[in-house]
Amino acid sequence: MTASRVRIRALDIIIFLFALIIIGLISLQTYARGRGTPEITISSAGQGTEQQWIYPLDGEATLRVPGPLGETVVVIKDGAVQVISSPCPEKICVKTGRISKPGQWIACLPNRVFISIRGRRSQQPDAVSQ
Amino acid sequence: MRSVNSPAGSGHGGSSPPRIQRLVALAAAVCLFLASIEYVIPKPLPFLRIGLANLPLLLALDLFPVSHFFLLLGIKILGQSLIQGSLFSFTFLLSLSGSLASGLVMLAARRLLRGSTTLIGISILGAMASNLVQLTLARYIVFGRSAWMIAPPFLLVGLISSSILGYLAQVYKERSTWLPKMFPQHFSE
Repeated sequence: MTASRVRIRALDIIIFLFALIIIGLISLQTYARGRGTPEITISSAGQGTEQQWIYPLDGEATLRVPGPLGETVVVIKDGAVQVISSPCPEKICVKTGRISKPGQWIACLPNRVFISIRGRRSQQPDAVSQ
Repeated sequence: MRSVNSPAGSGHGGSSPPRIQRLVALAAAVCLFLASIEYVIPKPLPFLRIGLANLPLLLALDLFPVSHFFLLLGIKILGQSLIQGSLFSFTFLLSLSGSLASGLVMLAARRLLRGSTTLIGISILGAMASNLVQLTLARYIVFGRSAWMIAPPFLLVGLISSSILGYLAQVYKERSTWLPKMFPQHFSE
């Protein structure tokens, strides 16, 4: 018997690939579950009633949120939220710019619109002192 | 009285008991030797194991009768735990159930797929069975859901090391000149 090399059978390779697929599925299930997409909560108190909307952060949308002064335009794009126009005098909400991390928020007090991102706490520290 | 037993004389079921028992003892000794080797190899994480001690088990699948295969498996489980000092800890429970699962799966696979795989495929199946059972137990008994966080690297290392071990076992089985002398009935071609 002069077998110089091990003859690997097709079934060996099938078993190997099968195991690899199982590992892939388990990894997907393990690592994808904990990392849910953060949600954007938008609430407004226009027209006498409180309203609330929830959007996923990874979507794309342009929303006209009604408030006592008029419509606040909110844009969700590229994993961030931004107020692009609002009928309030100071435009603080517009100047806040884009927010993208859980815990951040934008408020337009005159128009009574509040936008916040909720989700799993990000791994980054709140602030770093140097 | 000493029976003069030429190797060829011991047929399939009728090999003399002392001889097969000596071979089991020898295989078990090799298991424990390899377990000691594995024990002194530094590992980054306690659960990342090579499984060297399973080499004799892979060879025993074809060569030992089922009862002696499980005898070898039992000695390996106990002896390995003694060497690692984990005999009276939950690790022993994991090791026991993992080894039993892998032994059963390998034996069943070897019988069912007879000839259509090498020991590589059998080794992978055994490792997967052992690791999945251990992870499931760890999840329900010891660590809770977070046990699965280590599952992917654990399983991946198991897949790679079991493939290599299976290959080594297959090479040894094909090239050994000692095995055909000890088990002539399994090397008739």
